[in-house]
Amino acid sequence: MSVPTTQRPTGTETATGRLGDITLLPDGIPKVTGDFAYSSDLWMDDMLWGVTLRSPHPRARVRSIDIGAALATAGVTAVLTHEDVPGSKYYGLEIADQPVLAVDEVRYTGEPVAIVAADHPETARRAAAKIVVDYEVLDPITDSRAAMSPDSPLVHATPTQDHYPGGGNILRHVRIRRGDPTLTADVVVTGEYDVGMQDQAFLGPESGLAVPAEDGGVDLFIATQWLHVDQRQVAESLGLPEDKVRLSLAGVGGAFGAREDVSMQIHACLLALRTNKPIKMVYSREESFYGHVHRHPATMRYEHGANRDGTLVYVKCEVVLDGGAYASSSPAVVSNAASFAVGPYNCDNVLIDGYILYTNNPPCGAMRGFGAVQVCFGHESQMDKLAAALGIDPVELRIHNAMAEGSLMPTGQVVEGAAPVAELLRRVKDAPLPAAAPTDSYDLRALPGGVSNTTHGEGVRRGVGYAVGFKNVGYSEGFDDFSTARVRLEVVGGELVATVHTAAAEVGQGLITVMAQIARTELGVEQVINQPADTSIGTAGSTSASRQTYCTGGAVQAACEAVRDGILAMASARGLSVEGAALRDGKIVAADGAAVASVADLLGEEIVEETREFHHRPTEPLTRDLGAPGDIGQGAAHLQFAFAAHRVVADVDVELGLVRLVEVTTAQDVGKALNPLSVVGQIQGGTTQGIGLALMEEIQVKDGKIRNPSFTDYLIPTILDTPPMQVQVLELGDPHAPYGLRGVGEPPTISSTPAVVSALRAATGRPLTRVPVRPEHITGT
Amino acid sequence: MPLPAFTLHRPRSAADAIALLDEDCLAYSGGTELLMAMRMGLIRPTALVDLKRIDELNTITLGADRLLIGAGASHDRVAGDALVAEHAALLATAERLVGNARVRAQGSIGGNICFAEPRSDVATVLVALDATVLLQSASSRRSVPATEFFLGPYWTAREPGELLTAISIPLPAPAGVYLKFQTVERPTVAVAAVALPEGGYRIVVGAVGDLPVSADYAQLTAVDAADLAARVEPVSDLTGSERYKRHVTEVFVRRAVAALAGGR
Repeated sequence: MSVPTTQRPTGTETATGRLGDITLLPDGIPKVTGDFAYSSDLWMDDMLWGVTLRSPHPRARVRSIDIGAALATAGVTAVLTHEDVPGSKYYGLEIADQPVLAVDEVRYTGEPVAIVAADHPETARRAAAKIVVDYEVLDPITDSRAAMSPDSPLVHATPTQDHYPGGGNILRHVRIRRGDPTLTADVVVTGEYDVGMQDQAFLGPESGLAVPAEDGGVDLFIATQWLHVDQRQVAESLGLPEDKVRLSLAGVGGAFGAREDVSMQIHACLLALRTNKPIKMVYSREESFYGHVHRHPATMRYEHGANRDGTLVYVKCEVVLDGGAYASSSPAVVSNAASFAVGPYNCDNVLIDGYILYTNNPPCGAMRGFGAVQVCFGHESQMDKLAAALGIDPVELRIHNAMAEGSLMPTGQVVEGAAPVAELLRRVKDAPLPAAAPTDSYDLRALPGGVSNTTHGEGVRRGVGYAVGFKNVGYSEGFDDFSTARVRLEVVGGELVATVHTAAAEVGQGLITVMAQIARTELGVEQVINQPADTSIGTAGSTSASRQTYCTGGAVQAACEAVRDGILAMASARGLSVEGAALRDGKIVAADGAAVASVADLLGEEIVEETREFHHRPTEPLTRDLGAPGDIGQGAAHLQFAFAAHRVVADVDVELGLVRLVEVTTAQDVGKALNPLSVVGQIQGGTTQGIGLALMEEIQVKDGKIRNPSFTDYLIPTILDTPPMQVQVLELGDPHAPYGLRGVGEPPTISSTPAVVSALRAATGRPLTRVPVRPEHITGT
Repeated sequence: MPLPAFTLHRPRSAADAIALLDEDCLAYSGGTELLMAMRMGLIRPTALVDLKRIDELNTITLGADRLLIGAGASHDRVAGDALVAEHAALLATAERLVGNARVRAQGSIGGNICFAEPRSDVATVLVALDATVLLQSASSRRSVPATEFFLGPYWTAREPGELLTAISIPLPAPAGVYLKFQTVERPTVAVAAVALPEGGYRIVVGAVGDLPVSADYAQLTAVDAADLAARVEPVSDLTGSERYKRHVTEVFVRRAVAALAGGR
């Protein structure tokens, strides 16, 4: 097999450090200096370039496609349409409803219609522009609430919703009922809240290189979150057995959920097999906005009833998520939104309806926080409103209702292990507040509008806001998202070396460091090599749901334990006493601390290698609505819960509607910080992504078309928008999880958004029921 | 969108460049706006004349009663030039805030105003400074006041055969403040407020409407922010509604006046 050249670091270089040590990410510095080899840097001398022709319409029938002029273009090797897809013409993470290339209808603006291979990307683009597609343009279905109506036209003529009740464009309807939601309460607050469509905005666009193989298969080098789920979908569409579609992870430039779905994977492989040449595809920034799923926009209606003392009596919630044209992971996202709709609070009487709709808007799917983000903005806005109605301090109201170990979810699931909601809130509340805004000296960078020089203090008011949120770690509802790890221990050049191999995708979160730390700790070895991730080993599951350290960490731990047992068995076979012994500093160390033998000496030329799968405790599907009375939508659907709280201090120019965040304080329970440095990095990054949703990040879609597909018009926070953060990390230990750890990546993204808006409300007195908050929402103009 | 094919000319003198210019052959310097418009298919020239190698367009010189800025000078160059800082500090201030670092390094002051993107930092300040622009064709040479040069969005008084060679700022140039509200690469509202050398004050509100709106006042206390906000013609877009932009205009005029009065 030919291998593409990457002469630059790939981030698999060994780091140092044991569990709990502050350990630098080996890919960090190369990424900052520009030396890191991303998937877009892949290169083979004889490769061709693939480009995609996309639909300009959100909804249209495809009457015909004429590829003649494109194919006749000098330098063009192949032009493919759906007719050239040898296997399944449809793919999808959960439901195969998305055409590899449009078949007879396009359902969103940007849907791939044809692909072109040529000897130069510019040639391929110009050829693509010569493809003549005859569209019969139809009125798009773009309002998710209107799409719920039985009278609405259908996005999919043959609805593909599976076993969920619903109908028409409803992809899934999750009903949760517990207790008696018809009760009355002393104080009732209602609210309607909207969340805009956020983009993951990873910096490394979709890209990869497909290389045809001599066995008729294909090798794909790709930036993804889950190699094996890509492998399955690519193989099905190519009509090849999975062992002929081999994937290797290329350098990933961020993911945040947007690389869970297939983008150019199948296209590049189709072109590679057709042309018998390596095919490189790299999306432009604009194309990237059309090339991946986004965070679901939400409209939510809430009703909270409480006693005078603040105790929640009931919560009713209806959340409608716009799934866009294809299913992606929408059925799981809406389940999460429903599960977490009440927030981390005790409430015995709940009525929750979560809907997710097909529309002709851009497809939405996974993004950091996965359904919990939208409802957290809803429930936390409601808690602030309820506190105001009751005349109770908003933090005290939250603490009064806070979930704790043993609490029940709306689904009836018992919350096991630490659930330190009250403590997280107290910690952020008790942290010292920053100094008041200076009134005599002007550092423009510290004022709303920043160096744009818009205010010198005029109109500036300060507000403080709080929020708390939680979500599940790992896949839910009975899914067995296990991971596989192979660990080898051997002597190389006189030195003991452990090699760790998994298919787990490092996307910048720090997993390769953690895997090496685990091996170093479990095997008492200094040298650890992370073998590049590929499909030659079993699946690691997805790098998502904050699960990879839990699941793949668990698999590496299990494989290390098996290797250690093998070493100890070797020692035992040679008559050494190894009862209760461990491996430390290259030695077998007895229970009393005495060194029994050198592992290198014991191994000699031998290699100990073990492969293990890690399966977490099983979860349950939610009970379905069968028309019977009683509680529904019940079950222990989730593996683990992770909690975080935020306090935000904001200065707001109330005349212009500009915001300067002064400080963020956050507290999060991570169970056990395996690498404290990347834990803090994840919390800072996640918090910043939540700030983005609160203040600036929105894909603006009008009539099914994206109006801002660029980083000129889709803004993400820069370092200048990011305030100092006080990060408090709690390590309360989950007895069910490897090393007691709790997933880290998503919680900071969940509660930071409502905390920012809460601070803005405190500064402005305005209700602010929609994120992102735009300046004109603050000025009221 | 791919950049369509075109011919590239690289003359060494302004005269050679002018000889090439016509409706289908456009002058090009930094390309920060022109190339984007070409990619979008809004402009379809068959040829471009690269001005970057013409030294005479890149000079900044001080005359007896005016400062002459070559049209090819980059935003960074103008922002950092000692003569500009000394004689037309307001222009330096605005140039420091144009776009982003890449645009300032690559884009030219002449290209900025010839493109006549309404959300221009430069245009607002040139109107405040009573600047004129020098236009040269194969057969003629003329000087046009900035207020008469800008005719509408992407529309100027420059004829297809003319090259904008320099910008001329009468001295002494007024001093003042330049404030802008900007969330993306171009300002939503820009306000220049200056004290005129002959007495009185001028407020120019740019970027928010098709053309800069300018008004002179005998006293700062006479500035009517609400009136100016009513006179601009904002368009609702991703950066805000028409109503919001009018509101912001009023706030900015008030703040600019306060800043000028306060000596900031």
